[in-house]
Amino acid sequence: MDGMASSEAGTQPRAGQWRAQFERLARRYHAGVYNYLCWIARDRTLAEDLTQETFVKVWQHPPEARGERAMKAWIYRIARNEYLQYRRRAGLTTVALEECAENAVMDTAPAPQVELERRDSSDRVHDAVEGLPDLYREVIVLHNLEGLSLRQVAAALEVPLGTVKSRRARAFERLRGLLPGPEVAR
Amino acid sequence: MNCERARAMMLGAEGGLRVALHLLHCPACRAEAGRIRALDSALQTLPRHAPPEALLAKVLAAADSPSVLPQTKESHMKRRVLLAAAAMVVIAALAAVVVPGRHGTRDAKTIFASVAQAMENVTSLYMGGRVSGGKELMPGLQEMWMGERAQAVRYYDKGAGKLMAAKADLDTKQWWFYDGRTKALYRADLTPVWDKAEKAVPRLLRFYRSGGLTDRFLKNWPHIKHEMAVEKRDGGDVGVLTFFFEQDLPGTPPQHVIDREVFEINLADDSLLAQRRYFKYPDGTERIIEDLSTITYNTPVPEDKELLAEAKQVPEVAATVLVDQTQNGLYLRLAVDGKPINEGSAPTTMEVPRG
Repeated sequence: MDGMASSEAGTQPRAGQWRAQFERLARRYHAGVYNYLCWIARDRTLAEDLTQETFVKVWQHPPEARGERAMKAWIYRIARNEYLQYRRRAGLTTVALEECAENAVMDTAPAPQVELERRDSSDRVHDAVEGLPDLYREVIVLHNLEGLSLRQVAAALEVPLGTVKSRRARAFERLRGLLPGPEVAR
Repeated sequence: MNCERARAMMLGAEGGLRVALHLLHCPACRAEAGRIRALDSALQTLPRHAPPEALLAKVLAAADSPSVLPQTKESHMKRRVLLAAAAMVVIAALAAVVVPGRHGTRDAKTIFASVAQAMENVTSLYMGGRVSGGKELMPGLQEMWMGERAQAVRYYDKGAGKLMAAKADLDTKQWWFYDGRTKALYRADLTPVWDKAEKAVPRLLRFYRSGGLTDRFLKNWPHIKHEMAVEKRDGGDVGVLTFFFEQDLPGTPPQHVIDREVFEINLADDSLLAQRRYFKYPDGTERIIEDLSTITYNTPVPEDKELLAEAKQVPEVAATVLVDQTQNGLYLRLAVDGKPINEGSAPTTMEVPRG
């Protein structure tokens, strides 16, 4: 492989720049990518491996002049492709999400009482999302947990925006039974 | 907009004015919107899986491994050339399908010039949808809520809304403006814009019909003032959407006005029922300058050949529209050679009128 380190001395500053940018991207997105892969792959160890593979690919392909939004979608796209490649190699075997969820850590640590009241609802939501088909679940995870816009989700999944919207809508239709009585807006 | 469409848009994370207007008059969809928001909130409580502490170090180690190196620019270029070649094939295929026929500028010139000649008695105009080669390119902003798209420009006489001139089959690439002060007709050449737009006709149509134009407009111009309300009427709920602008009126001396444009929309089918336009003048008075209380579309009107003949004598000058944001909304100014024709006429202390 042609390497940046072995190229002309004049390209070294570019390589140095990319090294710094890569580190920034890794620090910013590795946790999110890991979380996404954990939800999708349902296996903590596999998610860890795939996260590393994802960032190897990121490192190998220095992007040219991407905005932050595009960069984020691009990284998640690589992560997803890594997962799909893994599935192709390994067949369609998946490990239960509970195995991953047992080790789940909330980002925020609410007071115990609050957590107790919230747990029931949270568990129901968790179980319901877990029960969603993969295609719907990954839209929910990317959009609601990882904060990608629907346009970014479309870029990450390499599908049209309308497809993402319809998947989200179908996911919501399946999840709508989770909540008690309707809340009137305005 | 019906409930089914509104709910589909909400589930697709499409908000915007059309949904907001629908929610104002539909309790069932308001309740549904609340449920969607609640579900969205609940999803925020899903557990995030924290990575092992060592993961970041392992990830960063990739960049320090001599066996894993970034690809060179040359290999990038090779791939991009291949992709570009593939893209060209696709674009060429699409262009053959979507690019509509082109029109000359003669029609537009005569149309607008005829109005310029008659403009002494005309204080306002209503511009409908714009078409080229029989295909809609991008609708006029005032039409964004219409179920049916107009394909004509119509000019109304002062006060009563008497139709002065009309023409279908417009050339969208030339915008014309009449300066009452200099009695000159100005032209803004939008050819590059429309050439680009033509290639995106299908996308623009979808965008327009989804109400996205309105939403994008407000997103891109966050300072534009607008208000929404719903009125109960015999025929059903009517959404009232008001936009605020300010502009200089050509004349001697020029007058700076706050322009309040009110659109009434049938919430059952999104059709535009009426449009009214008010000017507030520097002395504080406000009067209605346009009242299209009944909107009709595609009404054939015979051309006035005499006016068209006179119109050919009207001089033309290239002009541009300058757009600024002020406390009162968008400030639209016509400029010739970059200089606003009414420079210095704009007081900035006027307040947006209410009610």
